[in-house]
Amino acid sequence: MTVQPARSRAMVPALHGAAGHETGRRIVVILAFLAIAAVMPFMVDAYWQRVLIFTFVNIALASSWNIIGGVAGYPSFGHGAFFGIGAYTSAMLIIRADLPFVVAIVGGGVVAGLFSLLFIPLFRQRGFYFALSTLAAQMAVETIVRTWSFTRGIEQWDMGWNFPDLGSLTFFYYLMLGLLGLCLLSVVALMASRVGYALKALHKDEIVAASVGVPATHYKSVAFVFSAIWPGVMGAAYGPFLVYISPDNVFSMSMTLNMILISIFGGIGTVTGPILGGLVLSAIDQIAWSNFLEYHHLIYGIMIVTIISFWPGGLVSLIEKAWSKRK
Amino acid sequence: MLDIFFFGFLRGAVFALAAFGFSLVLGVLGIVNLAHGVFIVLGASVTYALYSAGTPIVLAALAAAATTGLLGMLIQRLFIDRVFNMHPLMVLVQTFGVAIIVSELANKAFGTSERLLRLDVPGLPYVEIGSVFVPTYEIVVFVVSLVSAGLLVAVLNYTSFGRAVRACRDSRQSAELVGINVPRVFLLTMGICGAWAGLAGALILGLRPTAPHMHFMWTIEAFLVVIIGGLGSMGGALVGGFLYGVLNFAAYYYWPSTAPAVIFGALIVMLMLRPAGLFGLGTVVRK
Repeated sequence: MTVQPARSRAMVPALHGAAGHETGRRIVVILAFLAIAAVMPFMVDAYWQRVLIFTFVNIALASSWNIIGGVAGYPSFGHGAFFGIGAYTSAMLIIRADLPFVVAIVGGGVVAGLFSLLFIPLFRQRGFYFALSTLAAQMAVETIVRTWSFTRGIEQWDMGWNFPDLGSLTFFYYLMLGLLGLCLLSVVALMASRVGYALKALHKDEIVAASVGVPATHYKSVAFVFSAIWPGVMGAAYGPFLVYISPDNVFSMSMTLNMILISIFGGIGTVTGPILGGLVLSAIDQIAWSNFLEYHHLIYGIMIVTIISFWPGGLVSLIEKAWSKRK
Repeated sequence: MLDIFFFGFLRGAVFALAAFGFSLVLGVLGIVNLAHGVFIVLGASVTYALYSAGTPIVLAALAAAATTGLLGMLIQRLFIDRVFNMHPLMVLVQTFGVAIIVSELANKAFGTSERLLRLDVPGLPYVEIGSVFVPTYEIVVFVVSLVSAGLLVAVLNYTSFGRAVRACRDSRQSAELVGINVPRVFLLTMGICGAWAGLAGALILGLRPTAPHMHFMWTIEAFLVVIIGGLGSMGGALVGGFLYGVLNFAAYYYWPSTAPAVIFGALIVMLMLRPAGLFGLGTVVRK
């Protein structure tokens, strides 16, 4: 299946004209968000800086999941695996190979991206089947990491990795913020490119899209690898921040669920949705943690069910509705 | 080798029983219910609580099945009913959320520790079959599973309710057109799913340690059984149960530490190569 060059080139400028505005608006929103976040360390204490770091990681993870799960419409339930792979790659590069942190961050993204190529055959399925296959893949990866002595830890009896001290809290704050900024801008760039349009077309109707010459498997693979690289990078940066990593904290199912939930809560398939969803959900999560620790899981579950049952369109759709009423 | 095959086969019946409801819901409602495992672990927890309080085991198991059946109907009415027509993602996340809520509540009510009942048939704890000693309880579980499965098949094949269920499974729109109350059929289907899974949980309590937090493993296992046998057909689920029983036993016997990876790997391979089941007995859900 090859693209007819002449025809598709004729289509693209028209699309760009309509959507160029959109891209500009998105970049403004993201830059404003980053600017506000950049001055936060001068106003809040160490505790809230840590909370904000978690929030940044969550937003970056949700934004990258959103590309494959929201825009392309392939709900991956295995994205936690890429985050875990990033964190473990970073652990092995820093602790086993004694390489600098920068190499580890890049390495985490590269390894996660390469690993995601193994998932490509799963694109033969869709919907429930795709979701369940990716879920099974994540759990298989987790079991292997948990049991293989090479990945389990530096000593025979270790069940995880202990990072050396790599920097202060402020260093990690700006590192995570910087990575989040790059991630969000790359998402905007991807959405404004041919890939973004192709994914939207595939989501609407894959058969029609394929029949007018959109190479479906190619674009789905690009989207999947893209959405695996960023969790890998974030995992690699996040591991040293956590200091101790084990399958229980980086491969947990709740990592994957968080990405999905934040995307849905904010507005699935939109660029600003995951940012909004990440901020609001992290705030709710924080309140639940600090006030009702014992019922934290329960509150989390209730939140999931309430959001899906009553606001499946997410916050962005609520805001848009309010906006159009005012006009 | 022989005893792995034999015990795997015996356990297979209970795996099939645990998966029947999953297969039925997937066929009729067209959804993957990630809260399925909750019915199983909750069935086990309720049975354990009632049995420790002095209820006879048979009554306790039936009460547990009734509880999970009602829970299934409740979940359908309150939650799944709202979203089952949307993108599959919504149902998956929502039912997973339901699973978290119910298993957390079960943790609070029944405790987080793993429960196992030592149940013996009075007077005849073991039976010798060939060279294998088999606890009589395992044979009881096998027979009960087959009988209750047979009952379900009879209900689906010979009652008017069963005809309505099959009509909804084959074509929802046509079923509506001929005057079948589809929401009611969905409600009862979830009830049946819950009840049979709860009964399976009650039986499993005597075979393997069970705790509320294990619900997700059971969901995966039910899915695997259904996929191996083929969707939508009860016979397929039974075959899947037997095959999965042997696979599961062999995996945990030969590779105890990597068994989950082997099982999940098998699931991926099945989904990719034979989504209609090993013998192509079932249909494929296109959603």
